Amino acid sequence: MKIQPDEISAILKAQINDFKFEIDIEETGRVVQVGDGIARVYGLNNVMAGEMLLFPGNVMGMAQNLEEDNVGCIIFGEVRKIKEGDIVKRTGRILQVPVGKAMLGRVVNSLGFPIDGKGEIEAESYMPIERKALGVIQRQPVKEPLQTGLKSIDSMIPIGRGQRELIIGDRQTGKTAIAIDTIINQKETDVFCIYVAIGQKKSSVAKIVKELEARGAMAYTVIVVASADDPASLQFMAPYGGCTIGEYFRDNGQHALIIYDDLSKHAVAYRELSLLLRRPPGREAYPGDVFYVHSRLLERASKLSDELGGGSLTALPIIETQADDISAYIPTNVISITDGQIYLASRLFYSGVRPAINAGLSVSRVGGSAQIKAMKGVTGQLRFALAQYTELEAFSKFGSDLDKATLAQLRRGQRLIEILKQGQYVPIPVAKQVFIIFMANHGLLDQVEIKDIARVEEELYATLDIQYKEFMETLIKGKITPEIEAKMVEICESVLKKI
Amino acid sequence: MKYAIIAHRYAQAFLATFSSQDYPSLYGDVEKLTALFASYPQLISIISSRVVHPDKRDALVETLLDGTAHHTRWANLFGILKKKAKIEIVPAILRDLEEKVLAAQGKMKILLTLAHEQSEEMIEKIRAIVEKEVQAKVLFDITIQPQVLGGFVAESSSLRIDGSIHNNLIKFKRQLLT
Repeated sequence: MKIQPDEISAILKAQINDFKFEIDIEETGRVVQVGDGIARVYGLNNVMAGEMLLFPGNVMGMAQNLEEDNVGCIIFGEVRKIKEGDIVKRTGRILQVPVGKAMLGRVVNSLGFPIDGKGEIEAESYMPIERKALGVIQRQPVKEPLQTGLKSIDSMIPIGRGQRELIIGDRQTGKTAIAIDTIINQKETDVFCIYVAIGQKKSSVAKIVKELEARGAMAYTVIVVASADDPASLQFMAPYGGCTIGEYFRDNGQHALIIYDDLSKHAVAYRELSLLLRRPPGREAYPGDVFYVHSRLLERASKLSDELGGGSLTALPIIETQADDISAYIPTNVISITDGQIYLASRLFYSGVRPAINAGLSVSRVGGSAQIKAMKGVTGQLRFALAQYTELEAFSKFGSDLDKATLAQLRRGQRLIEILKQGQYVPIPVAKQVFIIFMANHGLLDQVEIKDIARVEEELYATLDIQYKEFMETLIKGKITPEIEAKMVEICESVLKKI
Repeated sequence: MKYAIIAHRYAQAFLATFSSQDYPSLYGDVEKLTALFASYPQLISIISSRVVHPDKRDALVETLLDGTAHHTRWANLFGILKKKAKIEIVPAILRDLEEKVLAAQGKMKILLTLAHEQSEEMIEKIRAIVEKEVQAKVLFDITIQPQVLGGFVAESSSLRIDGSIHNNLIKFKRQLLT
């Protein structure tokens, strides 16, 4: 293409003609102290709490502590660029992040800036990072299921759209795996996903992105990253930024799922900021408002009323415990805020039960009303049977003289445990889950050897895929009638015959 | 800037000992002491120096405060600052006091930066613009800086009004790039 000098000069002339000479009026303050991601600013008498501040070198900050004669700010960029005496300008704006469908498939930082090298994001609009959670009138009870694709969760601890379900457990017990499987399982649904990585290694995040890309899950997913080397301020803001991105979908009548991985590190980042801002430390040196920090975040997850479009934002916060202690400060806080918890036990994980869900300590307070009828019909006493098995298993270790009934219960329990085992990245459609749980709960697997259970499961799924697609569709639409039950028994028996 | 917050607290406490009727005389004292410390910055190091005999330092402070309208209160303030080894914050206290006294009288001191000297008529025009923004009577302290290129920059401790050509050229450059 040949560039015409006339055209360039015409554009320049137009630009000059359009340019308006303006007088900028800015309220300013001066940096008194700076370091560790925190600055104290003298002046800025009219600054608002949470207002964005502009430091030299285009470094952004946020007013946090409005004190009598100074303002404590958190800094979102390089602290090295700021020095004592520098001018700080008010922006009059509250921190905002880009939102919209353009965010899907992208990896962004806490402020919504892309960090995946795929170029700029042309966002539909911007929304404030901190938003007040909706009131009672704007909400409605959770009623639609959010399928995780994991048998043990969808059957025993069902999650509904708009629910807040905590995933809690020690390190290396499969917390993130559950979250990622849930994202992967939304592939055929209308749920958009947001994964917020807080204080994680960049290599771990890269691995997750790769896995999601490989399974085509990035197309409906946004990843918000505040990695371990990011300042505490960015780690603190990440979940709020992610939540705003999710709220955009919810407010537009769509459904979104957000995963906060994890809020323990978020609390640690907030503790760091608070101590540096010289806020009084409380229990475990966390500031007094650490509960409010999490409750105001998780309260933003909701199921909107039909008048507002009926959209939903489901939250799956993750908490890492130390030595299985769920009675520590942050775990108890988040347990009390959420609508239930999925507790992963390291003992189960290392004994080969994966996902290592402890059915006794896990609960879903509202998900039951969102569970599909077919699943409700087959799970019945599943939790009870598992609890009984856990008790009897311990008891059986004392001696071998057990009565027939006890032995039968143990046998059933072992099979239930076996069918609830599931590999990573292999979410199972709910209809198949209904079938395998039905088989175990009705004693159809009692005569099958433990080592053959996986083979039965495999054969069952293959048979269902090939021969009973239509039946599966009707199965998940309504209740299990005696006719359907008879058909299910027939299918199961035909599978068992093959084995 | 290191002592800005402490100086602010001292200034606030010192001002609390005066009634509003004393403000004009206090302003006179502040002006006098500010001029003195601006002309002889080494005075601060001498008063706070441990090499100089305390009696001599006291005598020097006494000479400095001689002729001030509120001699006793100034002497007390200097005594406290000397005892706390904080004499170096005196200029910052004076700046804060000046600002506070002027604010109480509905006035504001503004540092006006121009590219070159301007006529009285032009200064009055700028004054009108600035007074409208700050909602106070403005006292200009004018400096000339050719880097401004044209227009003006008016600054107080908490406000910056930038109507300079330099700033507008930066904005124009940004507009061209986007």
